[in-house]
Amino acid sequence: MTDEQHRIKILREVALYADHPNFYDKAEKLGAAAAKGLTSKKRSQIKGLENIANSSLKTTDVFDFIKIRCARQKEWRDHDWGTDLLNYLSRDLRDQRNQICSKLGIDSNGIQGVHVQLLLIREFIRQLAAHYEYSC
Amino acid sequence: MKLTPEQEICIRLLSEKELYHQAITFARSQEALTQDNTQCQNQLTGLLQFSRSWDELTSFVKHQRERDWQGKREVYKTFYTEIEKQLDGFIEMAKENTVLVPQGLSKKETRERATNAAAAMAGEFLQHLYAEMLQQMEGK
Repeated sequence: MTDEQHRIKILREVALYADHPNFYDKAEKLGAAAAKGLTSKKRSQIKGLENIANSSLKTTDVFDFIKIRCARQKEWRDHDWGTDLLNYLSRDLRDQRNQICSKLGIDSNGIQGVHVQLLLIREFIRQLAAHYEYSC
Repeated sequence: MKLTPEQEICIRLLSEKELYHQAITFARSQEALTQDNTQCQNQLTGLLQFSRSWDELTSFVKHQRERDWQGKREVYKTFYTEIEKQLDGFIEMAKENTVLVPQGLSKKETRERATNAAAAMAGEFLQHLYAEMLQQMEGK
């Protein structure tokens, strides 16, 4: 299999997971919670979250970003939505990453495993942002 | 001395797999510090600022460890002692990693490359520590 074919397989698996009702429902729930906590006045916070997810090469950069936001801004602590988001990205999506890696024969603890989890995180935050905008 | 692309990937993986969890464990062991939010934040910010240079970071940590901390702030002596141990640990981690420090180098080259890699690891660790401790403080 060529690198390009491999890359497409990864994207396909991530897209399949992202299309799952559980994934959508969670993004909808957290998007609505983010809208309640941040309101439309703090739209830049969601933009910041999208930017860090899309530009980071490490999942832990996204986790650190969320931790700092939760610490500094009470809007992120409203009904613990920020902590829920952190837990979902770091635990649930890690489990989904492991399933994808196992299916594709990828080392989940290697750099490709990190890439798979990052793709899942980016897709989740993209959906969360959409639900946030809809809920505002 | 710039890291090679392969070394950068190595550091990135270490950050994800080991340094992130080490920082969380370290933060939980230093709970006493989070009683004084302002002082704790100042110390963490200082560490982050000095983490850009290995020499500046180690000098800062040594200076802070040797300070005459009084009363409730004695916990900072322990904190900086433990940070110093972490930094020494990064040098050893680097030496044991043949991507970061290839074998067969002279003592001087080994030391230089280990320090270079340890600096990168320290930067990652302190970033994770900062975020974790800030979150811990807010939980109080």
